[in-house]
Amino acid sequence: MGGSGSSGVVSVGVGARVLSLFFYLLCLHSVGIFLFTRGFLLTRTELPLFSSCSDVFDSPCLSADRGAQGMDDKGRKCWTKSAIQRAIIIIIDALRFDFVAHSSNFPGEPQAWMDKLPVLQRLARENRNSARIFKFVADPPTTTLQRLKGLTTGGLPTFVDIGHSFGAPAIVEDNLILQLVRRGKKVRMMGDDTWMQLFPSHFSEAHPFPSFNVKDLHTVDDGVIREIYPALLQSDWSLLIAHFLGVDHVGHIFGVESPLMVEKLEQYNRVIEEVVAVLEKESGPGGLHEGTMLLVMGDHGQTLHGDHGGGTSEEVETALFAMAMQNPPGSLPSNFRAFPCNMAQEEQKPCISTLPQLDFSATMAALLGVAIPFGSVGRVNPELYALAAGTWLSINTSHADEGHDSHTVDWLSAYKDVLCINSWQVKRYLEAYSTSSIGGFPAADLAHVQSLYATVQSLASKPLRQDPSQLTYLDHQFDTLAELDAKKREELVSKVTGLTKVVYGYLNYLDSAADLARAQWTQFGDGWMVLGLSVLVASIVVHAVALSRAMVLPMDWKCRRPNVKFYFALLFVGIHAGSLLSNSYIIGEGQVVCFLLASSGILYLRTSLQGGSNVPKAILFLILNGGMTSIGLVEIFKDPATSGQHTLRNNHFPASYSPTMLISLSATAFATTMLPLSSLAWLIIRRARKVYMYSHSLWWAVTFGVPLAYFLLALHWFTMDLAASVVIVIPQMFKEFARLVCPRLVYSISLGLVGLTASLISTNSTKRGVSVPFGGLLVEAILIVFSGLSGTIILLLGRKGPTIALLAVLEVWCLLDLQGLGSLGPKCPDMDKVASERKLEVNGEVHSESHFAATVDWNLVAVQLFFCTGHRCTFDGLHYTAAFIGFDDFYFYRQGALLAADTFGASHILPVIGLPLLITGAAGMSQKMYSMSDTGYVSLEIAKAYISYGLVRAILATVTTACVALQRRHLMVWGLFAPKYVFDALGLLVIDIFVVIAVVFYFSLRPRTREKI
Amino acid sequence: MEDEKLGRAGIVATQVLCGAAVVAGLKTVPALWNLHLITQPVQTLQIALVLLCFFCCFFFFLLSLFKKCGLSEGLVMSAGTVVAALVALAFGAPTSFEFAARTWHWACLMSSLTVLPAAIMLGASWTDWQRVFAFTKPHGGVELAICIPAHGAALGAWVGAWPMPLDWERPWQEWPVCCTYGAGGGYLLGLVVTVILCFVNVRNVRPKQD
Repeated sequence: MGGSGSSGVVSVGVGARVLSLFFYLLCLHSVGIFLFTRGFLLTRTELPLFSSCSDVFDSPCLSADRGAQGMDDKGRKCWTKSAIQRAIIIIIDALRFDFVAHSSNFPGEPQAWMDKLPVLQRLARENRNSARIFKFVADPPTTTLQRLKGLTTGGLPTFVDIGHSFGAPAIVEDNLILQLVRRGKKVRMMGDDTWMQLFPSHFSEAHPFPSFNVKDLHTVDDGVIREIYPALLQSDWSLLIAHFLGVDHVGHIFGVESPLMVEKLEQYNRVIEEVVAVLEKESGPGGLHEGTMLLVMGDHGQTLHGDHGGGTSEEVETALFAMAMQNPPGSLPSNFRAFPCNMAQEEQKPCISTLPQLDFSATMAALLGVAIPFGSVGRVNPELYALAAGTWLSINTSHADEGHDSHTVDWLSAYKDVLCINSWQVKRYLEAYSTSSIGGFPAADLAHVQSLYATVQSLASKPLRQDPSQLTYLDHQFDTLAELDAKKREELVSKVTGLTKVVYGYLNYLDSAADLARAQWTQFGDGWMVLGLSVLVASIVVHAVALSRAMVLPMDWKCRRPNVKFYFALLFVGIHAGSLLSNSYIIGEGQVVCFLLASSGILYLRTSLQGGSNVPKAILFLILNGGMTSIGLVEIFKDPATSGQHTLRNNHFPASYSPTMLISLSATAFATTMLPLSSLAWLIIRRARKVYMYSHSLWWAVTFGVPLAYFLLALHWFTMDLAASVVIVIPQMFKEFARLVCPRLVYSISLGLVGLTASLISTNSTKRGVSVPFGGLLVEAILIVFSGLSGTIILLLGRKGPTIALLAVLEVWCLLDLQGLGSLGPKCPDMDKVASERKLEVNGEVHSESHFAATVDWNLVAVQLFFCTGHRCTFDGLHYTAAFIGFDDFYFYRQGALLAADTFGASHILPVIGLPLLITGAAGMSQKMYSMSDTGYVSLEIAKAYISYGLVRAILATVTTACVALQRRHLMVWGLFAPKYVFDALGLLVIDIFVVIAVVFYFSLRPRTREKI
Repeated sequence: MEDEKLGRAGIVATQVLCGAAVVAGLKTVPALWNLHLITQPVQTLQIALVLLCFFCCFFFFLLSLFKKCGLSEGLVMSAGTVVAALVALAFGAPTSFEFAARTWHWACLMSSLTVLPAAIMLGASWTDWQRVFAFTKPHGGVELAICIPAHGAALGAWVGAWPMPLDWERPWQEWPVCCTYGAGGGYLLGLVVTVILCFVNVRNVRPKQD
């Protein structure tokens, strides 16, 4: 890229060149991030389509007579006849496969945590036909929320599901729970409150318990145990979900090997024993639980350290135990069992076959007799399906004493019909997804899979039409196998063979469809990732080359003394970037940044001690740094904006407090909001009066607009607080005014000030350009934009906003003064950041390296602001409530913009806008050589600062990207690295865009005189 | 210059004994009472402090017999403690009340490693302090013996803070423990460097004049 210019003399086109450089970098970053994201971040579109019972008539599976049979059932039959009446799903979070399966299945010595759920092993051994243990294989990401989503929708939830919800994780896709509710069946839930996030209004009765506190091992479990026994004796539910969390929490805190894990498992063993005892008592004919199926399963596994989220076998392998209360009359032929069991002889040892979690939703829907969820790509699993006695009696219930093979024929025929519907439903989903989603399936693969469907469908329709009577003929004529003569026996065998072939065809199709879906939604595109990463690395090279060229540009550096601060800045960037390799440092990035800033502060202190000047500011900088960090941790005032999930509790707490408590609370609120606000306003007005204002209208706008905005937001907060307390009743109209109108007014004041600045400055600069130094203009523009935006950003940040804003302003002020010390100006004048107007004689020279060092510190302050304003690099750390300040309704772009302003405003946008302050601050030192009115010099310096800043950010973002790529098999890739990548990539783009905007804006401020360097 | 009068032997002996005091104070002596830094940081630090202060005062007093001693050392040291504690907080030490005692004791240790010898030797001379700590230009062996171990202790504590956020869940990752080890290690390293500098070349003891 030659945009930075290689010639020694920069001509008039410096603005255009710099602009084209930044634009080029923006494009490079976008391309790199796009390519990498395409390979790494698998996305899936949630289709708002739902299955309904009548859909099945569109399928080819109901021939005329069977369709009529379906109607005969008084509309009670949906897609399939329900084989079980009720189901109890006991979910044990993070249930490892080896918790359930017998220890003889694993090599080596039995571990302490094995065989601690003996009741399941006993039941599976004793009831061969009606109870089984499966290896239940999840698809990554193996986090509870995604897994529950996958279990109920039958899809493959990816890390980012593009849906229509915003913030709330509630499932908008079709799912098992919704289908049950639509069929009028009641679902009862107890346990982990993640279910309530997913299904806020679906349950007939719910007993959620908080899952936030990982250190709390017992609340959820005890709650479930309290609720489950009474529920077992009631008949007003069809599906009972009990979700235990203890094992997950023990794993997270103590690890799997802890004795507490054994305790927990033994506790569950007792619970399951008692549950089974109740069920068995009621399972007689006509009993409450005659047609009940008990499922004990995990949502995902965990590693020995208790981590989960990734795709290692320990994490994805969990267990499912299923037991039907009614014994089925036959057992499944072994050739329908999944892999290890189709080989082994069933009788030797209870063999454990594999059941993908993908199949759970479809199988349960078929068993419970509801429509399979629209987005399910799983298949009805033959082994789980065969456990229920109902599936064996689905066609002819009258022949109790039929032979074994005849039962098999019945079952196969019924299963074939179910698979037919299942295949048709999957085909329908694949077609719908391809047409309506953003990125459909690859056309060739989809065509291949659909051709499989066409083949098996033609195969399936043939024998049915040829001899529709054969089946009934067989069933009615021959009671036992012994009576069959050779010919008939042959017919029966050929019948079984024919059905088997069709069933295999369907299963083959469904497997291919699932593989296609997996390839689309769970496989990384390594090639894309490498490509994207190399583009990002290339962009860093371009950046660095541009910077090094810009460095040597302006003058001959006779005395390029090595600047200590420069090397330390390099070291800090290196440490910061290197720390991103470790998940611990990503979690503690706020602390890392604080630590580096404090180190920087110590260096400043050392320098200022050498000069004997500015010592108080260096100390103040250190104190402010500590203050900023601790503010991020301390909750001064319960803030609905930053603690979204606690709003419920928040609404309650004022009532429990006495009036004196309320008064003290509001006094705290006053101290923490009003004082910083008013001092900020005072600072701004004082500044505005001092600054050489070249437009009176702008001056008036700032002097009145900013305090008005602050007043309005204070009014908003206090009215909301008072309204939340029950003590004082506020007129509804006033409350609504404060709640909705005030924030909107604040937003419009901000927008107005920024717009006014832009328009006034762009029109005025030509007239006044000659007399006003460029640097002065610049500082004024920045200050006005800053103060204008501050209202909105403080409002969005919530109650902590004013304090943080004040601290940040002071910190930046210290930094601006201190970074000038890098050039060893011994008589650093006691001045404000706008030193430019006073023609100060300072003997010192600006090192371009010191710009880099200053930019590094600037970046650290920006990152610190991100963390101390309560943000985290996770999606649940987003302040969704901030998007709804002043608005009740949801509009994607408006609320998205507010959310973006809250997330990136203080930490990405404002630092970019304010970056030239570093130059004007530092340039004050070099009055002797280059006057501030030298437009060319200042704009070159600004360009350098932006290049340095962009370089630092690009390095950090690229390192994050590289880490994500390296750690893509890491346990916490979905929990930690991927969100970090998304935040950094978005942040980089935001910064790039605003750099371009800022450069356009600032360079248009330049007087239209010929500049030369 | 005191350097000539004292000779290298005095400095080296001081350094060795100070190092021994650090090791004994942090490890050996607490072990006699079955104390360990990881489990009982406060008590261990107290023992280390007593030993360190005693030895430091004793030996540096011996070294500084020639000097007019003020009684302000205690004052300077407590001021140093406050500064060290504040610096720790600025670097992100936990602010909660339960850690206050640990922070305070750690700050005392840092102060006795860095400030106390300087307070004894340099007295109240601001320019000397500035020269040794702000410019890192110690003159002579005694100032070297003050300056290098002090910087070593500070840098060691800085480095020692890095393992703290890691999720290894080890007891020594608790707040003052690894910083204390880091400071002790850095201090010992500084002592070794001082001794080497003293022995290798007396010229090296004189810093280069820029």
